[in-house]
Amino acid sequence: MSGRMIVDKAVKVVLFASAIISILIVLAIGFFIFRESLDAWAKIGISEMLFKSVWRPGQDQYGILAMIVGSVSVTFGAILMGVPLALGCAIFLAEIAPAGVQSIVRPAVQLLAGIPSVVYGLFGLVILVPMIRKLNVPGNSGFGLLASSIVLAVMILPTIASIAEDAIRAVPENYRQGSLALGATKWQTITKVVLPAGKSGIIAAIILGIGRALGETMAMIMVIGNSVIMPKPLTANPLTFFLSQARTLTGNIAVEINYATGLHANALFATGVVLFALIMIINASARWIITHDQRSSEKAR
Amino acid sequence: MNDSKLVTINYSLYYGNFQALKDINIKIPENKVTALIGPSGCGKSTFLRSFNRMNDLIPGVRTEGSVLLDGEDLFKMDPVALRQNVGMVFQKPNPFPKSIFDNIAYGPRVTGLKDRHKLEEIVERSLRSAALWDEVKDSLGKSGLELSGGQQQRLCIARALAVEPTVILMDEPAASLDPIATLRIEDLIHKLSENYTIVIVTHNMQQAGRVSDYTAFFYTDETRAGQLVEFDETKTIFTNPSDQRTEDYITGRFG
Repeated sequence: MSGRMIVDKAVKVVLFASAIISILIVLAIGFFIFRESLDAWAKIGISEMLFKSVWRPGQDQYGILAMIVGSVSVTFGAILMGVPLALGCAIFLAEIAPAGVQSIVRPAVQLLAGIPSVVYGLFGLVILVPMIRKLNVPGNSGFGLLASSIVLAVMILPTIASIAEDAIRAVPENYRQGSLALGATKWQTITKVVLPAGKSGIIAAIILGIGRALGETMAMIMVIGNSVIMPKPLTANPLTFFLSQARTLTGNIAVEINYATGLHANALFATGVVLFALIMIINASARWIITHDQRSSEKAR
Repeated sequence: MNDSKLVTINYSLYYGNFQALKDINIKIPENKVTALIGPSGCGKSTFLRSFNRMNDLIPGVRTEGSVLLDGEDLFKMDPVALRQNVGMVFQKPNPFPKSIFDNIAYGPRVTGLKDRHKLEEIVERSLRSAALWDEVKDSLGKSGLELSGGQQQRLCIARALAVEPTVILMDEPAASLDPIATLRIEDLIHKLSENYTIVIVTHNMQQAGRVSDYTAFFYTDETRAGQLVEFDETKTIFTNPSDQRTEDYITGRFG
């Protein structure tokens, strides 16, 4: 066998090994977390953990429902604020901004993705929390769902904006031309043709943003307050729900794992399993939406 | 040709510093089919797109001279309103990924028509005019992308008719279709010319001969700026052209 044939074979083996190793790492992490959590599921009980909201490790009470609600609420808040902003960015970059403006705005948006999450936490702690504290509502500490939703909204902005921008750019140019040639305005073309045609990619972008939001830890610990309480409105006004403190699934693990032993540690691993499962469901649904839509549009062609 | 629908006067077009069209003077008659022919890169598609100002969408495009629609300067009109009067059919069928009904109703809807009954009327009338009604009347909810290529192109013609234009521009409308679908489109063009002014770009000499009443021959010299060499009735262009270059092109000596 000649030298370059040997190199060719060797490269193939090395690349295959790299792929296998990354799969093994995912499996190993999943297996490890799941094994460590087994005792918790067995001794505490699945429904006791998932559907009870009292978390008192000292008294062996390990309900994580409050944390599930905390994570879901802060993610919901972040989506509510972050998605319109991110889609606005994506539409502006893909459809409206001239090349010169794009070359300034796009790196600026992408820079947001590079800022360490602890810096976002600092920003929330020093700027947002004191501002929110000024709202005159009994029990309002400034820490809580509102501050953390705002921080998270900015953190997921670059993820959603860049994937949604790609989805919008992937819409065939001849759809735009067809619409404009029928006397539609640019904005009508965007809302009635381009966005519907890029729908699946845009939804995937939002779902990946949700996945990112669910997994965020450090910035959340710094601004959400971390009280293990079921978030609820502070007054009769339902909007004060967002002034409530909360704790996220991720925060629960990060705050307590250093001193947890025995069943308490097992319960934290079980928290990790729930998080792992949530994020896998989210990513799988993103993948399903993308491939499903591609298949149906290929069939049409 | 006394009833001129579209007129250009010393019309030139530049992409940045590159001149794509040079001093074009033409009078396109009303309710006739006018074919634009010429070798690739001679600017005939660019010229076609001047009539509905689709060239406006390309950054760096600049024009000189004037283009008149019914005697009025096109470049002083609102491009959105202009495009409702001057429809366009593209080379590759481009129905929206929407139902057949929504494809046709798109144009009327963007101008604000919401009445379902009126929309249904327009959809039926447009599909009948485009000779597609009998094939799709039972499946108006089906995606336009599920139709065959020829049906898609007739859908696009119906879609253009729905906004009631007076002019229809066609940019090689049969270039991506099989011979049978092509013949159907040509029949349709012939029928539509009773009520519409049609300007069609084509690479196919036989097609120009079959469908058009008038033919304009475009050519480009070493400056690469497209020029109008000759414009006359189609039978004159094909049997007795006055310019040697036209004759060479028609007889297939180049291009």
